[in-house]
Amino acid sequence: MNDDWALFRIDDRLIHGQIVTVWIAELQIKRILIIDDVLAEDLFLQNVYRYSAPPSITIDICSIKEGPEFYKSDNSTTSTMVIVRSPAAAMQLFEIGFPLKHINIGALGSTPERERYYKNISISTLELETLRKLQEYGIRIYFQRVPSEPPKSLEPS
Amino acid sequence: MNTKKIAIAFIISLVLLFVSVASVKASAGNQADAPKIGLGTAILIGLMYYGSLSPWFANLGFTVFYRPLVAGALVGLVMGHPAEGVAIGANINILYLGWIGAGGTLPSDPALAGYLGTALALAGGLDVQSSLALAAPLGLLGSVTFSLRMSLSSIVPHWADQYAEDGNIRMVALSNFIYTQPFLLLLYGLPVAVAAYLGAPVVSASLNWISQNALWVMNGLYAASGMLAALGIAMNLRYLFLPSVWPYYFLGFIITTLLGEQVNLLILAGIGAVLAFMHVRFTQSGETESIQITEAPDPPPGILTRKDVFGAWLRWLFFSHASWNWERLQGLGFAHSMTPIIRKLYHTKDDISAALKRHLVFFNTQPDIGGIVHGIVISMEEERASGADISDEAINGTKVGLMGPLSGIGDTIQQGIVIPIGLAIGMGVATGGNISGVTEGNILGPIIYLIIVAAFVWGVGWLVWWQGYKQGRKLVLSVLSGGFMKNWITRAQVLGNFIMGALTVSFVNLSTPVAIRIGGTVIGIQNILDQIIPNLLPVLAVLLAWWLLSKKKVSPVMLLGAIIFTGILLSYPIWPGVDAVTNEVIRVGVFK
Repeated sequence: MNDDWALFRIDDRLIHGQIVTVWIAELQIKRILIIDDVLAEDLFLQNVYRYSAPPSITIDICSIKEGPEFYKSDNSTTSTMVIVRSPAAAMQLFEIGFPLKHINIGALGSTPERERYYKNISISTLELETLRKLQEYGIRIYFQRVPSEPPKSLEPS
Repeated sequence: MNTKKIAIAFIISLVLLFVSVASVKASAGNQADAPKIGLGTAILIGLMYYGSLSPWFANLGFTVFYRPLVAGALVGLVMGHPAEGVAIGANINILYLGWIGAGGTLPSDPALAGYLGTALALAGGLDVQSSLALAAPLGLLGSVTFSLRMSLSSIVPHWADQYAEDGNIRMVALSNFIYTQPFLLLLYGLPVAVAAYLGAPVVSASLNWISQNALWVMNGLYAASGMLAALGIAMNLRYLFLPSVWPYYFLGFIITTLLGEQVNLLILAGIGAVLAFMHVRFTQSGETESIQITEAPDPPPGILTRKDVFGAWLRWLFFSHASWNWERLQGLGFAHSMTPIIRKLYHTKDDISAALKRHLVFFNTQPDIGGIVHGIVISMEEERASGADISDEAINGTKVGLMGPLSGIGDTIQQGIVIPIGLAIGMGVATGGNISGVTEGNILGPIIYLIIVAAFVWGVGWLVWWQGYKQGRKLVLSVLSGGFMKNWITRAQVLGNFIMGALTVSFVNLSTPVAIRIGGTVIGIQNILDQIIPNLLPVLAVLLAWWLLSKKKVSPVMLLGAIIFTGILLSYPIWPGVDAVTNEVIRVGVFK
């Protein structure tokens, strides 16, 4: 069991260029676990994500509900990166006992509800509250799109 | 804002400024043969820098004109020294071989180093190798303007929202570039033109003063440039030094070392390519997972013609990043590319307005391979317009679901394979395969690079766009499955490692003049090293830089600053060496 993830990331594009070209090399990632309810239902997209990952990377996909189970059954010691789509998903995982120590916020695209918060990361008021709550539970929350940028901590309200 | 990066760039600039002011006062001399930068030339250089970031070159801006190899050639051309420009550009480019800008993150600005760096190096009469140490700090300054551009451009999609509300297709399309481009011309072109015009006499006078009064600093710039070249290769190796393919780096290094003066990068690339095919052929596990696509794609409803789909592609090819911004990244670019499709498919104001708004939302992908998404979305829009029940959510879900993975694979292929390998070949041709002692470059280098990249960006870009339209989602899986893509990536990694080994020999020029006394005779350390393995210092420098970057997590910017300072400091002549002419023992710096 490996409760210290190399990276736990909130990213609404899940896997994309920044992850494939930069993070994987930086953290020597061997496996990516995507926890997402939409993807867990969509076999077509699952295949797209599996096949578009670099050859050396294993991709696992599960729903939020299966998250803790997936984590318990995992005996690997390889460096794993976990990706979820939204702060709400991170909160749901935390509430059902998924171990979290730090959360990297890498990308959240703009929507009518969200306002631009940091570079191209946009956050809604509700999401900001969720993140602050998680921070109060002792989880380190930081914004960092790629390793070459310094991490920016979430400011308390 | 990356304060550390700016601080380092600032300190280096401050030191350069101090040296400059001191030297302008101390010297009235001027190199007679170095070209000067007049007002007209300075404006041209500013325009070219803007051009490399503009949408006017059918996506060859960022992929071709943004690269120092090409920038050097263009600056050389307008300054009347094309051959020198090509060589300087090729040498500066070695630092940016492993440069990747993904999803709106720019680690530094190769184009600024390329355009301004080449201009100042030419005006200062600097030798080809040392120009890299002058250009590298300039590259760090570029990321400041990038942040400003991305923030300010965020307002434009809101104006486009208004035009979409009114169903004004023409203005949605125009708003993608009429607001941002004049602003970018000022933001990018003006500072560079001013810096070239005012900076050239200062740099020229200061270099002149240094070479007359502190020659060891010039040796320091030369040595630092050699080490920066090692850093450039190491940055690329971060993505290439992978299990089972890393030995090809050493094979490339050894073969190129054996070739000595006979180095020809094109032939080496050919050997590397053969090795790459053999590697995949002999390491395949035999079985590859494959998804069999049995059902034939549904024929499109037939409203759109090939010309409509091509028109949409052209708009994307040129303007995908014209209004790139933090808030929606390529959102407006996507909507712009869809305008000819929307015009053809929808006819009431409400339908047009809804379609425009549907495509003005956040979007970002890799522009070439990501075109599959557009192809699929165009076919979905066509089906919807002909009565099929396709919801807004289905269309947006397709965009959101595919843009991430396709940009991952697109960045890997375009920025991680096509561009670096194309650059390596172009740089090799430009310098004749060995940077040491090169003063004039071969203009064929940048031209070959342009042809390689244009073939990919235009050829593959249109192919996946059109096939995405015709085959829909089925195409994605048939392209990705069956190990097809993975095999190509593995081949590219083999070739990449091999080429990096070759470049270590041809572009990292480091040697030491230090000598030691054994018994009664004085022996140069370089002689001893050459007898063990020729080019030992270059390969050690690359491996050290790679170890610091990937194992010790030292940031490239820190390393860049440290290299320039230690390169210069270590060149202070306090070490024992042998004078080549008189054979007497003299004081030398650590590096030649």
